Amino acid sequence: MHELSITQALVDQVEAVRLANGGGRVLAIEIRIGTWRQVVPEILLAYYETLARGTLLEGSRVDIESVPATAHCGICKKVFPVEEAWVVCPDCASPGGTLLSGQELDLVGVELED
Amino acid sequence: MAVDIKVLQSILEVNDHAAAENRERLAAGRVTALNLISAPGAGKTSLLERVIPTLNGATQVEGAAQPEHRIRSAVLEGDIATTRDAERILRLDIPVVQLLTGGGCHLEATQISKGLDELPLGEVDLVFIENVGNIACPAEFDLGEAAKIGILSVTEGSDKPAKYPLLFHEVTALVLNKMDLLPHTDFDLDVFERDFRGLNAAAPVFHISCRTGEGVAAFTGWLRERVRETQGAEAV
Repeated sequence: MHELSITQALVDQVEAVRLANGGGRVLAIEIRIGTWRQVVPEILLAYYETLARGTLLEGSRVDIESVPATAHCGICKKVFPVEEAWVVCPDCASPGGTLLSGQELDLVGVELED
Repeated sequence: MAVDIKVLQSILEVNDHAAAENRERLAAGRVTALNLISAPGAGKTSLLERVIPTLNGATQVEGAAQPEHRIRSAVLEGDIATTRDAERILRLDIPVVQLLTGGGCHLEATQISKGLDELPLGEVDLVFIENVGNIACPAEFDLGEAAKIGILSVTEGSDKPAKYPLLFHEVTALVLNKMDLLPHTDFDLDVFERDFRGLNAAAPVFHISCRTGEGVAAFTGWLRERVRETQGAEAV
């Protein structure tokens, strides 16, 4: 449900980028979402379509890159992929590793009509 | 013709900026803010009703050698609808601001800045932010708090850390409430401990019952430590 406020923030951000770069129609945007974030891409896309309607963002393509979660073991220093809800080192079994990736929620780029 | 513009900016930039401003403002006033997150009915308001009078010196901690320094609390009360929780907090005779989200499933940093505007921050040591009852969405939004505190009640089941990993990874402390009901539930403390530690190696877990008062003193002591950290050792 929080996807609505996240998508509203995204639309505002794309609009600001558009205005700062000549004000042309938005053709596509690129975002990345970490798998550790509780953001459902399908819901975000549906909200985006609704919020973009009637603006110069309408019809723009949304490319979503999904970033897998990885963590760093504080004990043996290994970097490992996070499996579901376990931030436990697969080598030395230490719990509570530090997340290195998987929490991304970024606007990477905007493609504008020249 | 098309032109590509590189941005690489957090989508939550507006929220994160407001959170940073809140954090600066609280630090300048040496006020500790704690973000309380739990499912509806886990006991956030009941916990506040237990700890605030004790911190305030209105109720004496059993077995305490001497009265401790008085900690003045205030509450930002987040709810979808009604002022019922704020009314409960008002009975404690402390400043409280009800933040109604009108359907929104979480609080955002801009709402906190408005809430802080309405609090007498110069007369407050500790601000409890009671988030909307929900253990998914509120974990996503930085409010400018010093720490997130998770509250889980044993009636919700021991599988919750595994099912809602982000919150349990983000918390600085976890309160396990309704311990008086443990014998009547299938809550497995070993499963809970294993799953929680798989996500969070450091956060202390406080086993309490808001109903009986069991374990509340240990958590109140931890809160005093957080305020002491913010204010410097000599102040509290």
